[in-house]
Amino acid sequence: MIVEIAKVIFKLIEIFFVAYLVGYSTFLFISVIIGSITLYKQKRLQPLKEKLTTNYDIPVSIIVPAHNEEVTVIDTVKSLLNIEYENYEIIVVDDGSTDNTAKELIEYFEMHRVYKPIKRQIKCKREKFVYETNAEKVPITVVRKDNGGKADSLNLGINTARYPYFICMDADSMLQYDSLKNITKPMLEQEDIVACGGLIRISNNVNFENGRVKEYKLPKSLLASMQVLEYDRSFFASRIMLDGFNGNLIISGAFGIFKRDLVIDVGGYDTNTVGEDMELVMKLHVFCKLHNMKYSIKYVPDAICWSQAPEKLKDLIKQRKRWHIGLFQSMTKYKELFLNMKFGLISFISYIYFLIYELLSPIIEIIGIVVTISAYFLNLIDIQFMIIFFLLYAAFGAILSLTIFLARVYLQNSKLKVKDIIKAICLCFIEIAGLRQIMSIARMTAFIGYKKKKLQWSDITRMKQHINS
Amino acid sequence: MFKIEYLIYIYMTLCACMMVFNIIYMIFTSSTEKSKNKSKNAIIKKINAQLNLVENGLKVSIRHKQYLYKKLKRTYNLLIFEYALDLQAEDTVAKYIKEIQIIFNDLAIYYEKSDGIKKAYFAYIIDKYRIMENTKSSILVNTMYQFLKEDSIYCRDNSFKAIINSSNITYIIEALKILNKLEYYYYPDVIFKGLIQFKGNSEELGNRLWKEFEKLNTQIKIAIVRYANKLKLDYKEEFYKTAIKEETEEEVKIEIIKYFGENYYELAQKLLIEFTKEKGIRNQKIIIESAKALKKYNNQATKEALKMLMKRTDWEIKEAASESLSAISTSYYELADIYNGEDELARRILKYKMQNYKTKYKNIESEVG
Repeated sequence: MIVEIAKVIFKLIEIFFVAYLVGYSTFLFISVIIGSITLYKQKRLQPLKEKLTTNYDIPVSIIVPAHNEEVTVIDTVKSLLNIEYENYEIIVVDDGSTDNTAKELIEYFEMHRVYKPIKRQIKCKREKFVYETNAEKVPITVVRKDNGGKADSLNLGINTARYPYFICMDADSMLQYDSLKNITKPMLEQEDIVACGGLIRISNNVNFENGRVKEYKLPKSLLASMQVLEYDRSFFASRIMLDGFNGNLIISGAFGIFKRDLVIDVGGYDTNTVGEDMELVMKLHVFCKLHNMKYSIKYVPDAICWSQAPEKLKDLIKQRKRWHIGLFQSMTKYKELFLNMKFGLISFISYIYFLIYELLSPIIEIIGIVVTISAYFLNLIDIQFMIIFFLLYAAFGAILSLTIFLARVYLQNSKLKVKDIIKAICLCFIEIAGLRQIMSIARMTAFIGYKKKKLQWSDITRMKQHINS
Repeated sequence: MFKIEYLIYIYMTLCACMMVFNIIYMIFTSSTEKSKNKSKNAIIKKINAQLNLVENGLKVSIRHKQYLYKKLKRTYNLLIFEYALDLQAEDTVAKYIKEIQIIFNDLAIYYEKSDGIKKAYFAYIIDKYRIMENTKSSILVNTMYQFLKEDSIYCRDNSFKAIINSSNITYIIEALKILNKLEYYYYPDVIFKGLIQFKGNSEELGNRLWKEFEKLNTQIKIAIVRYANKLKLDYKEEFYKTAIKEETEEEVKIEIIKYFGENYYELAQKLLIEFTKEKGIRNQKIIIESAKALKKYNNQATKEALKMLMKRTDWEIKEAASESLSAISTSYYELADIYNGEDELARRILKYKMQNYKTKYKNIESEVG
């Protein structure tokens, strides 16, 4: 009797997992096709778009929150000065660094202290000092404050900003010469766009010169190379598809542009979460929908930001744990988005996708593996079928990753060496049937000690970028 | 009945499809690259041959014009056309364009049916090579008017620039009337920066713009006032009369205030001081801009008005007033009541603006030597 019940339970679990995997694979398949078509259309129009200009540059404040970034911060600011854009300023917010982040900038750019009062329209910690220079191409401001986290730093940056739009980016990231032009383009075309997200690409082992990629190579580290494939799948596939119905729930904290007034109206970044990027976007969706505002949040695949990926497994695990806690915090804070007619497709597609295939997926996948192994030992499942299915699922995922990776390489004119292509082919199988499972375990264990860690940033090893300017 | 094994077959099929898709795509893109390069070189060779003829005082053949018309229907070939011309001297290109101007009338009819970005690029070519300059052809002009109504800002902007570069004031006024009727929001700067590209008689353009002023929408009015400000056109009396009218839009008033901030007009000072006495959050922008504009009027009445503004609670008003106070030559004694007063915010803002002004002035001095 017990055996019979167990058989039924395992059968049900088997059906559930098959449905789960089929659902995810179908979603990925559709989004890769849409992503590839979008990239192809973009490539066809790219030579035209490069020629076309308008007479107007939207004025933008670039806010760079920095905590212990003395290794990379000068390169970051130098790369921002290489941007081909007229109307912008750079604000670096030193979030109580224990190294020489602020000092490095002040000395390198020969900044002078100013006693600038900052209007605190969003609650944040007070500034300790403000340094400025107008001697460079655009005004640069360094504001130092006590440590309060990235969200608090961004809020101070927003308070300091003088322009109606601001960009948030990470201190270890770099923008290309055309990133600002590309990310502001949609705003010139549509008045109701309140935020745009850019594409994050991995800068490890890439050589830059004057804001342009001089030589593109896959990272030397296998771990970072696998992340390249993962980022391509995530950015080019799902985000393009969700963008089709204004359904993106996240703009990466590494590169996104926002309307300043609206962000002030919604109270700025939430300092009680480590996933402040996703929390802000979800907050904007909720605010605009509830106030019946005509709005749009866009994803711009040709506005590129280059960011460092962790090369040590320990650092990658820390990062993914933080992302997962941030995801959990945002999803629970905005649970009103769950199956709510008021929010339309955002509720029925975007929220459900993030809930099942992002938030709960580590638990589902690990339990699936455990149950499958248990069922095998209990002789309760057709193991041959399960093995073939999982292998096929892994092959399918790997081929999807490879498809979008190669599409991106071709369509964005990245000249890749043959050995890098072979490396990508081999790694895409390891990524889908190896790294993914390690990350699932890491994400699942993110909640161990959750209460203690919920507001913690972790220190990740930074490396110098290859930049010539 | 559905068997779970069917799923395996479905996935196998999907995997095979994806792999085939990848292979076909790679072959397709590399073969089209090769044929594109071949075609590109052929077009450049033919264009260069005609440019050489033009340089030697000869005419472009009809056959070449027919060839160009056929080729330039494809936007990719229009890119090659631009590339070929960019390699040549400007005056040779100008002569060549004059010779082939007629084909653009026919191309205009063709491009009217294309999508937004292709229209934008066609308009860009018309603008870049000033193809509409001295043209009497209504086809090209009407096409540019049509492009002004497009969704894409690149199309609207480039066609507007093409019309500006025709140096024909009648066309420009007509274009503004078309923009006036549209529902699109236009950043005034887009129109303003288009207008300042005009290379003809700016006073005559200014006069014609002023004639139409009252019939135009707010954004275009703002652009016209900015244009007058930039070129220092004398519309002081006209703008003053507009500013004192109750029915004038707030944004237009603000732009006129900025005009008087750059162009001294005695009567305007009293008006600006009156504006600074307005109350209420609705008038905040007018108060702020009037405070900034007053730095042009360096006298006791201005200083008193600005010092009164420093007593306001509004942060931005204090900032604007401090900016003007730091630009007007004021001694410490004149501002002592602010420096030593109880309003800490006023003191800090004024100190910051003074410091900024001195640093800016020192930088200008050291540059000028």
